Amino acid sequence: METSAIDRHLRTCRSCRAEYEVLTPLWQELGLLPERKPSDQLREKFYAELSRHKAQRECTVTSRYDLLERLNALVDRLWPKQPAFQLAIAVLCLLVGYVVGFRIDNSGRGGNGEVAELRVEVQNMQRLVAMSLLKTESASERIKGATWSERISRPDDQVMTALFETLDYDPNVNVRLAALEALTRFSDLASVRQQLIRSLVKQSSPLIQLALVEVIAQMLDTRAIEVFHQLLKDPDLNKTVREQIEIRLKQLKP
Amino acid sequence: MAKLGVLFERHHVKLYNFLLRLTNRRELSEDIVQDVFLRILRYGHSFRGDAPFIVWMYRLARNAATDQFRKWNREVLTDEEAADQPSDNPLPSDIAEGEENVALLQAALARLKADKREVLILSRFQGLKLEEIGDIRD
Repeated sequence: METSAIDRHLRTCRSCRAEYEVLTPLWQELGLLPERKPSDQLREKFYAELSRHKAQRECTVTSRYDLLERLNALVDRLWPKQPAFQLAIAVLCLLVGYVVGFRIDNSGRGGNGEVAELRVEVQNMQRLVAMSLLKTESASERIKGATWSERISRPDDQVMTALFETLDYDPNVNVRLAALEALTRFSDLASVRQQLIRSLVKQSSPLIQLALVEVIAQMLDTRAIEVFHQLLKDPDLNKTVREQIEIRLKQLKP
Repeated sequence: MAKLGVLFERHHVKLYNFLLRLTNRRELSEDIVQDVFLRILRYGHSFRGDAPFIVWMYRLARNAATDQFRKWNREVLTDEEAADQPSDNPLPSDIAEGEENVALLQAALARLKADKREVLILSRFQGLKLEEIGDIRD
């Protein structure tokens, strides 16, 4: 592919072609340069060095093996021959294991506090990232901000306010949809449900209206009935949105 | 370790010529070749196989050469130093008429800047692909 691109260029560019025609014989002449043979000393030195390394490695392996053998012999010598003593050692090992296990377990409980602290710090960090991303000029960064806020298990008022402001006033529809998606995760909170219902009146984009109607209907919150009726009074309401609201109203009415 | 002997036999002449053309010093080039194969022995475990072995070997060669020449990235020798240094290659006047072209080419090659000479050698004499040369020089 590279060669064909060069060939194409050479067909159209005269100066490059001229240079290429001068350089081609030179490139071929470079082949005249003979390959030199290194001295025999190079091979001798290399193999000598290789043998030295091999010997060194074997020596290391042997010394390791020796150490293991000696350790085995020591254990053999110290290990009691009488079953009563062997049982005593086994019970002792069991006790030591129990004590060590108990201590590790206790220190682990102390460590749980540190883990909880760390978790709070991570949550704070995620909150900061989400907040700063939601305030950027780039729409894609604001979408990231909305997505980031989903990672926070329980966002504080500041994050919620920022998300609702994004849902109500962001100039970009995709960012508003991302904010709605993030807020939907917290629709189990009564305050969030109420604000989502209020937000529906403020929306002008049919896309957002449809998404909100869907979310609100799934919440089965009867406070939505009043807002739905209010919207139906608007003669400019999008036809699809109107149809959706009518369907959802039937589901919500007892 | 036995494999290293095979690798040495397969590559040492090419590697030596690469270094010789680059440095113009026979003894030094042999020392670097020796150094490269010892590095292969020592750091063989770090070869991950994501690039061809030859690319890794030339990278090691460049590193070994860098240790020898501190000014490697700029030039193996500056023009003034090159003029002062006795070259291992015979001068054009010392050789037979038929070999004049060879000597001229060698002299011309030696006059190229180190980085350009390196690319030319890797491509023309070592037969490496441009992509491989790029990987070596990364």
